[in-house]
Amino acid sequence: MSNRDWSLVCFTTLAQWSIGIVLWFTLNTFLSVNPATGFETGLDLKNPVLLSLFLIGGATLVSFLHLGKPANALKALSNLSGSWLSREILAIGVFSVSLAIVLLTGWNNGESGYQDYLLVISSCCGLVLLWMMIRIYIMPTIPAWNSWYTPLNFISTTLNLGLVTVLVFHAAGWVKIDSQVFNWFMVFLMLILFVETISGILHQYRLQRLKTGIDALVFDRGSFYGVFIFRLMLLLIAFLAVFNVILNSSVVSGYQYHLWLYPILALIIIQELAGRLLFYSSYFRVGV
Amino acid sequence: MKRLAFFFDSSSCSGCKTCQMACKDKNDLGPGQVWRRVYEVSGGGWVKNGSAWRQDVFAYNLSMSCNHCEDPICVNNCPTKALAKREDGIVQIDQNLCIGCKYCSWVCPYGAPQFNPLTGVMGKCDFCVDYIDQGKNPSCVDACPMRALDFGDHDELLEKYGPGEHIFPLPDPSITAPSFCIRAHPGARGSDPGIGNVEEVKIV
Repeated sequence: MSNRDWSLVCFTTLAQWSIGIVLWFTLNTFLSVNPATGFETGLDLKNPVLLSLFLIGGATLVSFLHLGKPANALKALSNLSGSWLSREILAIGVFSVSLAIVLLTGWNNGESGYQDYLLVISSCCGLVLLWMMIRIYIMPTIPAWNSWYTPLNFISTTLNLGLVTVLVFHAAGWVKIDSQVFNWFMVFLMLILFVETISGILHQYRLQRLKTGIDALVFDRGSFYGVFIFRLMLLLIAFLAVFNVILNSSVVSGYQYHLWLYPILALIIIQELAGRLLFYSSYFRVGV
Repeated sequence: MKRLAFFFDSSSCSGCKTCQMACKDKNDLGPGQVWRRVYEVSGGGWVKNGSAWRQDVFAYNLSMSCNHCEDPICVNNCPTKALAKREDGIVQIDQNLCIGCKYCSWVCPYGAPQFNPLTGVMGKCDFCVDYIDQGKNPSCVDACPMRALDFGDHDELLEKYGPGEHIFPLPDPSITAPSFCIRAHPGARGSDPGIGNVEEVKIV
């Protein structure tokens, strides 16, 4: 993996994190009976949508580092009819604008009635962007990526990072989540971590059995395998930590669950970055 | 519509790399930029034949550049339309449009488009299009001392040299419909990657 590919690791992770935040924040808006927020206007640092906009903006800036000629970047919109990469870049723009509209309408009149629907539109834009990102990597000439694992990996990253971030916003008192919804969210977080663990192991098993062409990549030893084991350990620790929160919050009154959510967020961010690093490192193409 | 293609005779190639050097010279390519590459494929061992053991060793060379595919995956996926196919089938890069995203080099199964860190854009074999337009041969074809390389219309090459064989380690031709015709070395054993280990294929 070249140094420039680090920008892609960060770009895809940040972009999916951004989408995930909007998805879960929107879902909570409709699920919680009283989804009050700790922020007064749209442009408040306590607003997860603002964080989402920062993340997608940061992702876009980081993606420029991957380009040999960033000055020509706008030309990347020239092949919308044929290239998923072009479509992805357009989708990033649409998603970012939709987030900005959500924030600006909130800033104008506080709690406007149509903000919930704008959030739904943003979520839909985010899902379209996620689909574009997945499609870029489904290529018949790249066996390691051309599998069920690519969509599952991207979707689980989105759901995982978004959910744990919204939960942390709740723990900080900035977003209100009903206690029952909170419990369901924690169970879902545990479920995503479980799916990521199992799918990661199955994908590793598949990689080790692929014929890797002339690049002669080795997946079952060396640094690749080391990062894989490291990620598995982080996933396991995060899983146990979430399980611990679920267990204790249901039996101990006044349980300080929020103290657990911050380290869980850190663990999930690191394991997602490690997972994405493995994803890009597994690249090899058929042929010569 | 014409479909220009390369012919490569693996049975004649000595692996001297004159084609590779002619390409670098013609296109003024720096270190690490190899638009035409010569691969050495070797393998085999001992196989039991009745009560005796006989050796099964094989080795052959493969000279590969861009194959100007009929269905070029690089052209289809280029976000800037910097990659385009001419009327005569030549796939070219407009370096003024290229943003150096390297997606074309990811997806090409022949490793044809290559990133040039000095210019920040991709480069690849363009069939020596300026020579072609002047009615000359591509530099690699003229440079080959073994006359293992030829070029022409794909259908005419097939007529002249017979159907090209798909040999290891080339990818399944159905992916991009490459415009080439290969005369296989007697040691080449079809397209099954199982016949050679990855360590046995290298760029020489």
